[in-house]
Amino acid sequence: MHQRDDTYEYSLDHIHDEEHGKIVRKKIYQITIALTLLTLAEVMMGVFVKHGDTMSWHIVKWMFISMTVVKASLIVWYFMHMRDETLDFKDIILWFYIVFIIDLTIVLLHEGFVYGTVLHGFYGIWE
Amino acid sequence: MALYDEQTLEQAPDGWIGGRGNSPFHITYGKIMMWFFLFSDALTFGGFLVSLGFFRYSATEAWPIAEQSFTEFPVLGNGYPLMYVAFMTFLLIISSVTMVLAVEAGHSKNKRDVTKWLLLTIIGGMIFVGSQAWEWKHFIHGSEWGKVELADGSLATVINGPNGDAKFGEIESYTVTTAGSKYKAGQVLTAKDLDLNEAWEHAAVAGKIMNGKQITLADGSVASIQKEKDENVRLAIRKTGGKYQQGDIIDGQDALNQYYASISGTPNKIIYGANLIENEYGPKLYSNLFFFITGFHGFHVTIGIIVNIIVFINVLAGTYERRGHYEMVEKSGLYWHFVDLVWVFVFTFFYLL
Repeated sequence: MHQRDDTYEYSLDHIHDEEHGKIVRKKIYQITIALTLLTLAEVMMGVFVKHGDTMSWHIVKWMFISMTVVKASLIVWYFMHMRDETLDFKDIILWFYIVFIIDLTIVLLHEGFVYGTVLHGFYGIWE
Repeated sequence: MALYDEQTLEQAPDGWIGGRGNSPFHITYGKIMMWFFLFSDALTFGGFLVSLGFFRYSATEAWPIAEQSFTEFPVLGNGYPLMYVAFMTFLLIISSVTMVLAVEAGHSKNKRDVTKWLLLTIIGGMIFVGSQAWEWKHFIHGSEWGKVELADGSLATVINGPNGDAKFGEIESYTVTTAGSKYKAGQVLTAKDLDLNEAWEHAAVAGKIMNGKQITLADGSVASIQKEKDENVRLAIRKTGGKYQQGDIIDGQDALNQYYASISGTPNKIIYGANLIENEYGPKLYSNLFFFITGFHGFHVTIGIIVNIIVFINVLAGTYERRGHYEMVEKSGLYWHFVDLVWVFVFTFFYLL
């Protein structure tokens, strides 16, 4: 008698009753409000602070990136139930990706900037 | 000795083969594989977005500013910078919330709630894809002004004047002066006879609008233009030419003169909208990347909607009740959250930064 491989057991582990469900739902609504407020703040900043070389624009630029990362981590942590997973699993999925993408971003942005200055030189824009 | 034999399972050593607490990470293989797939997809999208950064940093032409290009809202018209995109982001986040509520209802084995939340998620996703299609259409169609090539070879777009938003004077009618194959002399063409704006754009690209006063229509007839005054127009130089540098601004009547001078006579001095060859917003790569990245994302959303519909049908049919758990809803939910996650990043890097 073969045991099925899509293992009911641990899935059945997740079944909980209505009481626990209420607590979980409350948490979900809290995270929803947090995400909405973050999005609103981002959009307001995007509309009212103009692109340019001003200090306020640079602050806003970094705030965009940090708020986006916060939103992403809220979604992964609570909505995708990452916080319920084992530490090993979190390591595998999250750490590898984060380290890789930060490295790739830094390298490509730097290369892009250097390439841009080279192209500007070709077109004679940089005196 | 059968490996799967129930009796020997108790003595089975910890490992990969079935049984309580013996799986990698204590979750089902299906869920692990979904996470691995999402990991690889995240690498794909991460690569796209980082390459967007690369091309932006190396662009020789001015990169478009999103809050100036994306200002339209369906039905309400122009003048709502970034509002529609904010609505789309909010919509996708809410559909993610309904999805996680569906997963939670699955954990409570509440079939009615699962169907309710899953249906809302599917509807949210469909509205999102529809909105994205609307954005594409507007992006492809372009603004009323387009991008002009001035006499010295520099490229310029119209920006708002110091006193208010730039207004393209509404075209009221064309009065035919010289007859062509379709229209007779003296005929007054209004919006009922032909699409005035479309005729304007075609004639502008062909260089057949003389000094903003006279237009040669598609059938060869020449007409004078009755048009309201353009207001608050300034030209911003996007690409350096012989006389103007990138970043210069031409003010006042000189701006209007130069604009109309560039569409009189020589054809192909103006570009409207965006396609795969050229675009009015900035470097070619901008529109290419826009279509590619948002297109890939929209494709993922569509696949997610289809998967959700299949899962929805199964929920209704009671497959998961019989199986004893709603794990499939959870796996589909992981995919949907991933799609939302990617959108959050695309929204930031395309529309905000």
